[in-house]
Amino acid sequence: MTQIAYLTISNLSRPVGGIMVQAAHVAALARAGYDAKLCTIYSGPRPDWIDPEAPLVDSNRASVGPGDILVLHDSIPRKVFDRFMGMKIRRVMFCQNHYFFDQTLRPDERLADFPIDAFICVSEPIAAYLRDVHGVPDPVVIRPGIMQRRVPEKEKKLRVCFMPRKRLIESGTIVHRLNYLYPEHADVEFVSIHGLHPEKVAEVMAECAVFLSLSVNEGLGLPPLEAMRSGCLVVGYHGGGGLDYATEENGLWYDSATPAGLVDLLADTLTRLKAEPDSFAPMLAAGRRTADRYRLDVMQEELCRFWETFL
Amino acid sequence: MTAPEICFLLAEQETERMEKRCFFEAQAALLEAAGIPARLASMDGTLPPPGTGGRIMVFDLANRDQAPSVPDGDRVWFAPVLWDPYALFDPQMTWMRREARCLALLVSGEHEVELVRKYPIGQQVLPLHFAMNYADLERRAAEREAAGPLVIGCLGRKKAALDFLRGMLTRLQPAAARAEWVELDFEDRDAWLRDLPRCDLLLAMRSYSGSALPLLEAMAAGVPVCADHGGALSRLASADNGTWLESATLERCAETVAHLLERFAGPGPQLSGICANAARAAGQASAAATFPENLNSWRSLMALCAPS
Repeated sequence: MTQIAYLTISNLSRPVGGIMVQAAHVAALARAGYDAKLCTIYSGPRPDWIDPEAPLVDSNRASVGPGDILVLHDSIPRKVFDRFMGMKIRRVMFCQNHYFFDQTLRPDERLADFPIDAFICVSEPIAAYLRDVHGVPDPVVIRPGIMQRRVPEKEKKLRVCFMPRKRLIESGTIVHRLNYLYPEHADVEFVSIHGLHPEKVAEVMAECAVFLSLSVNEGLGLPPLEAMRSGCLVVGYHGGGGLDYATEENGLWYDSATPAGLVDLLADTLTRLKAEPDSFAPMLAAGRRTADRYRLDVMQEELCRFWETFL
Repeated sequence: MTAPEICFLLAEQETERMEKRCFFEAQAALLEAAGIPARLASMDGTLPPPGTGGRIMVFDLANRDQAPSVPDGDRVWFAPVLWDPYALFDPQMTWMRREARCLALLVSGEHEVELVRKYPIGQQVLPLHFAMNYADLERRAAEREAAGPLVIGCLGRKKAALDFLRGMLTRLQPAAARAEWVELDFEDRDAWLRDLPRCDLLLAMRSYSGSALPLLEAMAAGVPVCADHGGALSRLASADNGTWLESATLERCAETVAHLLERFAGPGPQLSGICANAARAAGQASAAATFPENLNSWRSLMALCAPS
């Protein structure tokens, strides 16, 4: 049987959204009867945040041959990329973040000029980039499903949850400026979800009224979608790839080079929520509808359709 | 009564060290010319004892942990600079409140000064223009020679973002594909002064900062600037004096740069009006032009350490 080997990074010591999506692909394919596996040189214990149905194998021991398929990712170091391009094997590029490619490619190189047999990606902004910038004629969009476990609905508290890791300065600026420039909101608690286990993140989101989106240069960005599904009002950056779902109806999106205006936007949002807790009900409903488009069953269906066609 | 000496301190490994050096050197020279003793020194070196007027040490607030220890009784005070106006957090504020030697916080930009005055730092906030004396670079002709390829200078610590912009533009725009791309580094002053005048365009992705000295020096030299200014030019930047990358989305920034490159490719005057406006704006933001206002702040600062 043809092996489908998804290559992933070596450090699996903490939850990474992109790896969870790769594992979700592999698990879905394994369930559908394919010989799919996630290949890594990570040698630690199996992380509990990776789908248990995804076979995880040691890349150094895996054996792939001409009939098999390597599924590459977008952050492969150049030397490794060149080695894979030289192998007699079929290649699929699974792109979850198009902003990474220029760390591997030279500016005058286009992905369409490499021996890559198919391109799959997680969002329309990536597909547009692959088509328009790299000349890839037919990238296939397979949107990931939200993997976060559903937790029972809770009464929302006027809290702001956020993931500061990618925009540390901005998150600090927002927290401090809100506190000192808008003292009427000094009582609003900010809850970081950095480093939390995905199940704990779900619990935090279930309680928070607002999710401050600090996405930056994302291929898609699942956390805002998770927040929408949890009934959080999303305020902040879409990170580029988030334009796959970000609309005026489903969030208060911010797209400026400096964070100064985001503080004012968040303050205004909190003022409105305090005055009228239901003032964003239509936006929250739109958010839930948006999030509902990113389901694991839909992903599995589209994924299997792609592989059936490709194989 | 003798005026206190104003001593600008630089640490060896601090970020944007050359920018700070250019700013501090210019202020020190202008203060001296105004009869106020001033010097530039290393945070890691040994300073002679202060004179009878005492000494005010000026350094980036981010380097507060490296501030020299001062014996009790010495007439030495601190006046930190808020170099990055977005990075004023609780640890810095606590230090300001608790450090008895602190006189004031020096902040660039009227708007930022007003904001910071609302923070509980327990000290005065004084405005200060972060300005320098620009190198006397031969001003570029506003009309580029049509025959040669564009020379695009890239500047900024957001390397991945610049790489993405360059890759996208190179693949989509013939002018960008033919261009010579030059990596610029303001921190390497000699290389900067050598390479900047060759550039037809400066493309910069700045980190947040209260300083935009590299952009201003390029503008003064007549090099068209296309940049994310990091917040430092919020008041000065306009469509009349540069092309400003206002979006947080790189594809939108690339579109902006692409439109600009099309203007280079077209016939007729190329950005000459913008370059003239940019040079004028940079001139108004130079160390010499802004020193009268800065001098007011330096005098206010010195008044704070006068015996009551």
